Formats: sequence, C-alpha cells, structure tokens
Amino acid sequence: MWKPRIARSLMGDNIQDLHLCGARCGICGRTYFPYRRNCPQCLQEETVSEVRLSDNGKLHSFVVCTMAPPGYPVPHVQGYIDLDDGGGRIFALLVDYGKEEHLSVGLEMELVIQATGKDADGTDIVEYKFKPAGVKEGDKGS
Amino acid sequence: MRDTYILGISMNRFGKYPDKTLPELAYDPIWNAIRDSRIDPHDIDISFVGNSYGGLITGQESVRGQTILREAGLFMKPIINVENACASGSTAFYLAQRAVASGQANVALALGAEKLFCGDTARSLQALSTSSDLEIEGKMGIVFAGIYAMRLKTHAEKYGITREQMAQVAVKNHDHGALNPLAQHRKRFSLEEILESRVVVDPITLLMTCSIGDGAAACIIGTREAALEMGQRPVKIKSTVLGSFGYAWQDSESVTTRVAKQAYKEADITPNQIQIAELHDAVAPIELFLYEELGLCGPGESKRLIDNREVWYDGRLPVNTSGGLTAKGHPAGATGIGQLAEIVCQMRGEAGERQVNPFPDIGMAENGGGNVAGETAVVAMHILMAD
Repeated sequence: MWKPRIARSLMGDNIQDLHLCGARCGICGRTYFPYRRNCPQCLQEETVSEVRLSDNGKLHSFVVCTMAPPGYPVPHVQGYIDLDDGGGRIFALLVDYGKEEHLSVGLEMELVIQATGKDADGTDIVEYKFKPAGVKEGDKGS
Repeated sequence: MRDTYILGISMNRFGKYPDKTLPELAYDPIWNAIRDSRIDPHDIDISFVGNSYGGLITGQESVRGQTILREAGLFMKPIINVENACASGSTAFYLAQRAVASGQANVALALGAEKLFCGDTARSLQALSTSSDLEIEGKMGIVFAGIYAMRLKTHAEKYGITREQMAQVAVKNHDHGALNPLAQHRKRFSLEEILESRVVVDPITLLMTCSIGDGAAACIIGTREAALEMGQRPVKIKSTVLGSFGYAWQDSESVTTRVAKQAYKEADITPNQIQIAELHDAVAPIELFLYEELGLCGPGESKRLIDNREVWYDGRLPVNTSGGLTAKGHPAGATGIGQLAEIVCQMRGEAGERQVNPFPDIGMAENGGGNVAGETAVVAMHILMAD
C-alpha cells in the first residue's frame, strides 16, 4: 500500500515500480504534471488522458539552497527537469549527486522514488526526486 | 468607462512597529491621503482593503478591512476585503479604479496594510509561505528564493550577466533608500559589502533581499472634476491591469510580459515613453530580468542599463527611486500602493533629495504576488500620467 505525498503525482501498482503521472491533452498536445482533470489551454476534459511520464530527463536549471522548508535537510538542492518524450518541465528536489560540482545544466537525470513517511493508517507516503542518471541510490559520490 | 485620477495618496515609513496594531498602522496613511485629496471624507463611496497575512499573524482572518476602517472612523459604506498575496494593495487599487471608472462610485479608497512583525519570526515566515499552492508546490519542498535564483542563473548564463552587475542593482536601491525618509533601510552599501554579505541562495546575498516589515499606504481615487479641485498636479490613471499565472515554460510569454503589454496598450503608450518605474524587486537583481520582461529594454540589454547608471534617480530611466522592496521595505499588502505613492510624489516634485528632474510625466508600477505552478501568481501593473 502506498499513497503519493502530492495527490495524483505518481502511478503504479507497487512501491518498487512507480512512475510520474501526468495529463496530456489530445488537442493541443500539452502535458501537465501532476495529473489534472482538464486542459487549462483548451478548457476541455474529454481530450485529456492520464499518461506515464518518462523516468528520465535533462537538468534544465538547479540551485543549492543553504536553507530549507521545515523538515527538509540542508543543503536543499532544487531544480527543473525537462523530461524525455515530451513530458514537460517539472520541479524536483535533487538527491544522490555526490558533490555539488557534479551537477550541471544538461546533465542526464533519472527518477528516484522515496517513501518518506507513513500516514495514520501505516500506509507509506511516497514522493519523487531526481538523481544523476546511472548513480546508485544513496551514493555519496567522490 | 470614465477617466480616473489619483486625488490623494500617502504611506507611512515602512519598518518595525511592535507597539502598533494593524488598524493603528493604517490610520495615518488613510487620513493623510484624505487630507491630500481635499475631499470631504463623507464622500468616500466604497473602500477596498488589501492585506495578505493579518489572519495568520493575529488570528483576525475575517473582516480585517472592517476592523481597520473602524479605527479610521470610516464605516457604513461598502468595505471589500482583498487578498492577493504581495499584490493585495495593487489589487485593491485596481478594484477602486474600476469602481470609479464604471460610475459605481465617485470617490473610492484603496488601502494596503500589513503587519508582519509579531515577535515570532517563524510565524511570519510560515504566513509568507502560504502564498503558494500548499498541496502541490508546498509539498514539493520549494524554496522561493531558489526559484528566483534559478531564473537569474539561467538568464545570466544566456546573456553574460555578472555577479557584480546583479549586486549593482542592490547598490542602487540602497542608495535610493538612503535618500528616502520613508524607507525602512536608509544605509548605503558598497558593491563589495553586497557581494560579501551572507549567501541566501547563490547568486542572491542577504543585502539583495527585502526584509519583512510593517507598513500601510492609502490612495483616494476619483474623477477628473474632483482632481481639478484638489490643488495638486492631477495624476491620471492611464491603465491598471491585473493578470494571473500561466504555465510559464510552455507559454510563449510570462504573466509579467502579458500584463505589461496589455497595460501599455490600454494606456496607448510604448515602453520607451516610461520616465519612471517602481518594480517588484523581491530580490534586487530580478530587476534586470524585469527590465527585459517589461520591454524597458531589449533581450540581454538590461546589464547596459545598470552599467550606464541609466536606472539611478538621476539617469535616463529611474527605477525604484523609493529604494524598492530592497530598501524601502516590503510589508506585503502595502507594497503596491507604496509604489504608486513614490510615482505620484516624483510627479509632483515632492521627492526631496531623490527628486527626478525634470519631474516625470509618465510612470509605471509593477507589483507581483505569490507563486503558483512555477510562475508569479498575480501581477499588477499601473501606468500613471500627470497632466
């Protein structure tokens, strides 16, 4: 059992195999994340379908914050990822990048799914992050 | 729609007022604006009260405008509460202008007031953080200074803007603030001091940011007939436009550019006619980005405006002669009308040591608020023209 920290942001049957969940409009072709019921461009519902967004993308921009919202560790590294296959640009926190110098605009990135808490019923609360492609989870780099 | 004028306008010095309540803070700007306008205060037909965070800071979530105008002694007529994050004051002004333009009212009061100091910084910051979509961006763990920093970095890399050029905007705004008796911070800083102050989020340093504050600003809006009787240089509201966020990365234009184009069109001017501007410098270097988004210069040309000192109070296009949010301070809901107070003050030749010469005839204010879906949630822009 799992549920996403951000409503309608993830899809999949079990926690080991989750993916980003978006909405794509069949008329204008725009993609939205997280999933939403209508297309705010065309203002149509029936043209919108749920799509699995790519697990991969390129780093568009990023920043290292020495402060963070309550409950988040510092440094707090955030960025925008341009998802492959026309998935659009999404905001993400970045993890497992080793040293800050390893991050650069254009770097290939991949999805990380983390269970970061449990709700009152013991269900895992799951969120998405991104790490440099090919890096093992938890790798601190060198 | 009929022509509308600013009949009277006033703000108090932005800063820290631990001994004053929100209604007490707003009292003097309201009555100074009324005196400035020379109207009979009984003639105010409707009031719009902009405030963002009073509910979370004091618990007065409902009827805040009524509590403020109770203290001022202005009740019985319609009072509309306006919340639009850091653009609440501008939104109140927009609505007041529409009320007079449509003929619904002959005289309208627009007020912006905010009290962010409450003795508990965590509470103040928590209140500010609610100007985003808490269920989406909030749960993504977004740091807003970081969003600004990413925008700046991307822009700087594209056009070769240096850290020194970014810091120079803060130097300018602190220079202006030092000359403004109503600014919260009235101290000059060198380029080195700005660059060497604590890094908030690279490339933004502490002296490039705006601090939290308390303050209020009020404006009386009326018709041309009333403007001709007030004994001051009449200032016409040429256009006032409000817009909301889009999906920035896939839209061709940002909300700021979209709103600006409409404001210029409605005012029937081009950006190169602007003689003075107050811009929403939530972090000082974002001004460079705004010059371009607002069409005040071409893409990549903003660094030239700062290098050539064109945007200083004695330059070709003075920007944020008040000190901007950086130095004048940023009591959120008060900021939008505070920007207009500076433009009117300059147009009337009342700006003392920071006076722009010759007195400007055409000016603009741009005020932003909140962040939703990665864009500024609300952008307001007003263009004023003195007779």
